[in-house]
Amino acid sequence: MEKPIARIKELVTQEINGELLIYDLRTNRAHHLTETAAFVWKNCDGTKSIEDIRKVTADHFKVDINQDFISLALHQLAKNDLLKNDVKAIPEISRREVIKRIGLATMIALPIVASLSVPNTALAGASCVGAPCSPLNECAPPCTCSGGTCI
Amino acid sequence: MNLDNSEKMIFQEFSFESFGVKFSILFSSEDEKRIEKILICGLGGCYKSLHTCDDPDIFVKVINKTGSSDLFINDELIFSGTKEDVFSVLESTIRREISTRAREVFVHAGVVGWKGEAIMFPGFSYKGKTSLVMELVRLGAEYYSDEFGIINQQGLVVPFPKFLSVRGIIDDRKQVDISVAEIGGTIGKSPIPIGLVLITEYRPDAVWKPKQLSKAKGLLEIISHAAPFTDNPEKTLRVLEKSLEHARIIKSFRGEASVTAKKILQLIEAGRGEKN
Repeated sequence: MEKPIARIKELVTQEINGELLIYDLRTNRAHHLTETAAFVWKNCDGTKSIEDIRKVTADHFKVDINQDFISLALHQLAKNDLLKNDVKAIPEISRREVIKRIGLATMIALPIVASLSVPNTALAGASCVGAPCSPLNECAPPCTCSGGTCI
Repeated sequence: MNLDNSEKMIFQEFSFESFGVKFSILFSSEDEKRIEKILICGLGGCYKSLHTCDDPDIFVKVINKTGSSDLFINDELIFSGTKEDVFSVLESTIRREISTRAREVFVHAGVVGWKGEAIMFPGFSYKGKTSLVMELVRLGAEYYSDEFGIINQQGLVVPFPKFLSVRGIIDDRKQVDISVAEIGGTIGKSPIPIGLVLITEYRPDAVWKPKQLSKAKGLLEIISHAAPFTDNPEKTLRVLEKSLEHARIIKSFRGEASVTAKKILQLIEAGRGEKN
C-alpha cells in the first residue's frame, strides 16, 4: 500500500487529553478517536510507511506493537472516511484478533473510532413543537405533523 | 359586511431581547396574557424588554381569524391552527431561535445545581429529563432548566429557569407548566461549572450501572444534543470542551427518577470525596 494520508479537508477537530473528536462537515458525522487511533491518524502524513507508523507509535506509547495494531487503526479510519487512500491492500483484522495477537499485556487503548450522525439543529434544538415536518421528515415523539409544523 | 376578525383586532407590539437575540412581536391585545406566559413560563424570565427595536432578528406576527390563528415569522406564514397550538408553536419557535442564534452554546438537557456545581443530563425530548430534574430538586438541588444547559464562553452553565414542562397530568402528550416553587424548589442564580454530565435515558427495566467516559467520548455523546452544533461546530466544540474541564462524564440507562436521583447525588458526593 502507498503511504497513508489523513484526510483533513472539511473536518473540524478538537483534541482532549490525546483523544480526538472529529466532526465531518461533508457527512455530518462525528467521530471519537481513542488516543492511539488519534496518534496513528496524525501520523498518516504521506511520508511514513505502515512500518514507520508502527515504529513511531510504539516509541510514543513505549510498548511493543505489531503491524496488526496499525492495520486495525487504518481500517477504522478508512471506514469512516478519514483517510485519503484506499486500504483494501491491507489485510483486515478484527479487534478481537488484534487483542489475541498483541496480548492483553499491552496496556494501551486499542485504536478505535466510534462514530455517530449529528442531528440537524432543528432536531437537537428543543422540544418537537414548532419543528418543520413533511411526509419524509416526521416529527419526533410525541408531536404530530400539522400543516408542515410539528405540534 | 362580514369583517374578518383580523380587521377588527387592536394590535400591539412588544420587543425584547433574550441571550442577545432580538424579537419583535405584533399581536392582538386580547392575547397579551399569552405573550406574558411565554416570557415568564417559557423563557423563565430570561429576557429584557426593549423600548424600541428597529432591527429585530425575529419579527413575529400573530393574526387571529375566525376559529383559527396564523403565525408569521419574518413575514412567512409558518403555522395556522387553534390559538392554543399557535402560541405553543410560537413559544417553541422563540426558544429554538434563541438556542441557534445566541452566543452561548445550548445543550438540550436537564440541569440542576448541587453545592456550586452543575449536574447536566443531555437528552432528546420525551426521555425523562423533567422527571429527573424534579426529583433532584425535591432532594435539594437548585433548578437551572429542564430543557437547556446553556453554556457561556467561560464554560459555565447559566440558569434558564423556565417552568417545568410536565407530561402525564392531562395525558402523555400534553405538557403542563409548573413553577419550581410549586414543588418546593429554588432556582439557581449564578453561572456554575459542570461537575457531572450524565448520559442517561429512562428504560422501565433498566439497572443503574454508571460507566465513566473519557472527555472526548463524552463530548461525542453531548454534541448530538447541542443546538447550534451543525451551524457552528468549531465554536461549539471549543465551548463544550472548556465546560468539561472539571466534569466527570457518566453513562448508564436508568429506571425510575426517584431512585436514580438519589444514586446521582451519591455519585457526585463520592466524586467530591475523591477530589478532597
